[in-house]
Amino acid sequence: MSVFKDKEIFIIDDDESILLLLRKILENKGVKVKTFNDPQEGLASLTLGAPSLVMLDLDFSSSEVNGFDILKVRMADAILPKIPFIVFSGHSGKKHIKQAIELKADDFIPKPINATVIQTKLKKFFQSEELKSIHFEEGARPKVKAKMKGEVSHISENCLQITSQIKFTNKTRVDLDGELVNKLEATICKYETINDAQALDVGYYKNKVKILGVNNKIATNIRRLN
Amino acid sequence: MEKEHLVLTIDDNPDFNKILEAILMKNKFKVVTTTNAERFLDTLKRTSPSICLVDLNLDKTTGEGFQLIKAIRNKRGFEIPLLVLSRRSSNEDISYALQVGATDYIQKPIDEAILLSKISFALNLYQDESTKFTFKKVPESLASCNITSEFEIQNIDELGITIISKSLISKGTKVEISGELIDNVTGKSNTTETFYVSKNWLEDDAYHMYLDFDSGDTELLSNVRRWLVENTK
Repeated sequence: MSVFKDKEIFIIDDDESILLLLRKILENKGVKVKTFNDPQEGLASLTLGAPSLVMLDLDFSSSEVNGFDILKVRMADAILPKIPFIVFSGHSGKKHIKQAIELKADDFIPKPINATVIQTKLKKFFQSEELKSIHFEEGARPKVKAKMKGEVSHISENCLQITSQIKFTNKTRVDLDGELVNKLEATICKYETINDAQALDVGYYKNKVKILGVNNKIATNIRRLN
Repeated sequence: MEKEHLVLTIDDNPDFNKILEAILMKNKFKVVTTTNAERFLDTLKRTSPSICLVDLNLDKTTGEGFQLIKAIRNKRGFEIPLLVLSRRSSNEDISYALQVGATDYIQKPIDEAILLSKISFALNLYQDESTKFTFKKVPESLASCNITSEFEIQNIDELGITIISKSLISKGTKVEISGELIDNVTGKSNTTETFYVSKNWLEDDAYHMYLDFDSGDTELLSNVRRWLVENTK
């Protein structure tokens, strides 16, 4: 799998031709790209979503702020330092680079822009960068509802059989909805699996499910079903 | 039946209790009937019934049965199957009884076959195929359904989530996920996100399923990264 898969990069530069060039180089690699020719606007966009990486030009000529100012704003922020910034500049003197590194830029790319250099640098960067993740320990795991498709093949007055891609373990509470449940007026019922699932085809299982809360009306509806 | 099961019941009508007792004893159950909550709870404390039958409206006080269900669940957890009996058949009542902890619902006047089948079923006396009622085929036009179940999230990263459970979901399955964490991560309320299971494995006796976010949804991925950036060190 390419290291560029599902990556998004924001590029901040006031030079439209550079934005266009970088966009072409990166989109060629499958990266999603957003460009900003106004540094303030670029910075503001970072308070909403978060890209995988920001590429920032240090040599603005037409704006009141330059790239170093942006790096300073980033340093003072609580969140932004956690979004990686790679800077590029036409001034590749030692002093210039040193200042960018002091302002916590994650890497430095000299201008003029060279497609191979950019691709190599970014590839190396993404390879070494671990995906951000959060792990939840037992007891603190958030619960979610997962809804999946299934097919009810058989029914009795207290039980039904479902074929699905889920291998349910015994006594799992599930909710069911669909045409059958509506027709039987069984939306009030609760459902619980009985026994472990039986494997059918590869990836498909048959689960037997108890219907809890069947009243006379629903029982009659089940009997009348044909 | 290998073991003699004790059935503990509560209903304020002594005549009804006599009928119930006769049916159950005829079918080899031991029975203790009670007519008020105090006696019922006292008996519950001293004995270990296999199953309880609770009338929903005791002493004509609406809802006392519900209170009793809650009390039993609080005191003894979910071990004992608990069937509610009632002449009321409104959907809200049934639904509420199941919600507060009842195992199943039996409508009065009781039908002996239904009563016995529900008790046996709740006690898991009938294993697998041998249920009391015969199965029939569901017409194809009605077969399609949605199954919803609860899972726990173990991990979330920039590209997907890992959910764990005793149940396994096959690779390639489309799964619609909702919950507070999904709302927080996406910045939307009451949202449902579509995932596909791309990996599954068994670890520490639990199935782990890795579900991919929709990789075509740039805004979603960007929101997820933002949430991760804000919540990681």
